[in-house]
Amino acid sequence: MATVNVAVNERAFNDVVMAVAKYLESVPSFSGSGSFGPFSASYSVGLKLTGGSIDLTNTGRVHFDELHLTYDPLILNLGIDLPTIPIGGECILPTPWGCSVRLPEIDLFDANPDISIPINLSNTIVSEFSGEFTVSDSKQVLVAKGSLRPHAAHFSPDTSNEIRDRFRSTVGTIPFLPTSAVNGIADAFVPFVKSNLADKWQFFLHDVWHNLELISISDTAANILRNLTDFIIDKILAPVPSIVRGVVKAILNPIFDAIAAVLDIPDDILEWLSSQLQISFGLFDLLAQLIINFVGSMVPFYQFEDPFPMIEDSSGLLPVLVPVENVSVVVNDDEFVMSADIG
Amino acid sequence: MNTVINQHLFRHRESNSSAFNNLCTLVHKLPEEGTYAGEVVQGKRLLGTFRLRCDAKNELSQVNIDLSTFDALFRANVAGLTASDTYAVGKDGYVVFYASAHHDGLYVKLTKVSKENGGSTFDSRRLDNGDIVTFRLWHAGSYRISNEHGGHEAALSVLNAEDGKFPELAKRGPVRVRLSDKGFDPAKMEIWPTQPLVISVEVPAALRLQSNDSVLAKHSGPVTRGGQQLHK
Repeated sequence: MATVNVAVNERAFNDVVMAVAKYLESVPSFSGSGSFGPFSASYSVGLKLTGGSIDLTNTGRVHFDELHLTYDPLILNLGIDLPTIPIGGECILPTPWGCSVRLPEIDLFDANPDISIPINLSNTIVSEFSGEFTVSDSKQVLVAKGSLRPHAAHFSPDTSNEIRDRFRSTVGTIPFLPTSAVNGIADAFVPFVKSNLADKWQFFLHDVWHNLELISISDTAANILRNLTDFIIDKILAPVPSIVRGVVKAILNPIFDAIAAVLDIPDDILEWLSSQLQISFGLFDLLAQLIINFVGSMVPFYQFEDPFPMIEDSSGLLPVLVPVENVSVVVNDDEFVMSADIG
Repeated sequence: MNTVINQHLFRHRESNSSAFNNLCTLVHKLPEEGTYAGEVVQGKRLLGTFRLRCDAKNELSQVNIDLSTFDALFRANVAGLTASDTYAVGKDGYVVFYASAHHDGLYVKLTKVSKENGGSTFDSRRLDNGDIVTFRLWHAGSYRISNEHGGHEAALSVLNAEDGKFPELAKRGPVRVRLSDKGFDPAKMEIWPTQPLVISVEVPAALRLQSNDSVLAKHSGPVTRGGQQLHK
């Protein structure tokens, strides 16, 4: 039995991993919600990967350096449960013993004023992901073998949900992710595997440490949030004659001052949004965990069939297949080296 | 997003106590105990009727009657809105007539149900000593209030914020005016939008509130206000 060493330099390794990381963009957008007093919010978010690099280190780790994640889509739905605001109630006949007659009260709002305002922040917020990972290998053996091919001694049809269930089980470990999102994300990866059900050697990246930070919010997003109360009031006042808007705003302003106090929107919108998304929604933890799980166990960054087709079948000739055993990997500063026993 | 603002509030710019809308509230003190039959009319259409009981045993000092709720078509289109046809108030109590919706040209009549003929009546088209008229306006500008029965007039200014910022309107109390045989006192008033203007009536009155913009449009000759010629 012979031993084969295959070395991939850092640049080629970077290209391989980044190509797989791009797969993140095909993951369906997911959503969540939270509430704080009279204010509620829900979000729907998807990701795009841009920039950054992947370096090999002499500690045997793979270093992800400042990968930029752009949130697209990122839709925030802000909900406000306004109190009913009556017009009237003034005393028009005061007496020494109290008020004898008051004006009737008429509601400023027709019905229960639950306001929902969609705010589109797609492509306006960017996060930066960095981390270090170790590399491991494992052999995937599925019950289903796919259709009979020349080098397969037998086959078992893929009639089970084994692959789908494996992915759902892995994605389901992400906390606070609703079941619908778990299934949607997991099922997106199933076709990736089902295209080839043969036994394989697979290589995965496992998290040592990671950091996901909000690094920039465009002026558009900052202005929207800074003028949030005016933005909401103008939505409410859409049907009000413009000549009367100032009057109604004066009536509503005390309510929105209270809401702004609840939101505690400071001058630093970056800090506020980061705090809300992180603390109130746990969004960054969610995304970081999704990335970690993705690169860690869901989709390998590289794989090959076992037995390995050294010479493909062609012109009616049988393929030359070589069994592979005892696969191991080593990472150093210059290259990624895979060793295996063949034959 | 739900459309939730009550747009009826901004529909009208002018009002008339003899054919009123949601800008005007009328307050009438019942002269004696007893049962009164009420009729609510819009223009020439009878919207509905009601019974009003004034009883010393009742502790209420006022009863509010929303004339808009007598419109069956309006009730059918507002979920959960019901109308009552019986009301009660204590002795020396006040009846407050108002409209919460889009209706205009409203008036109400009260007739005391009595075995004797000639029971006391109240017709909101002709107010009298002791009645109170309240106007609440949303649109800034200058207005004229006239008494169609006595020919008295007053000038009203509804203020506009210079930089779009109004004072805390909720904390503004009513502005009070008397209407006697000598006219309005004071004869010139200033209020903020939504601030009530309370007119205590002491003589027969039917008060008409007109925007000076509409008055200017109707007049072909010069119009003055405050000594200044405004329009030719």
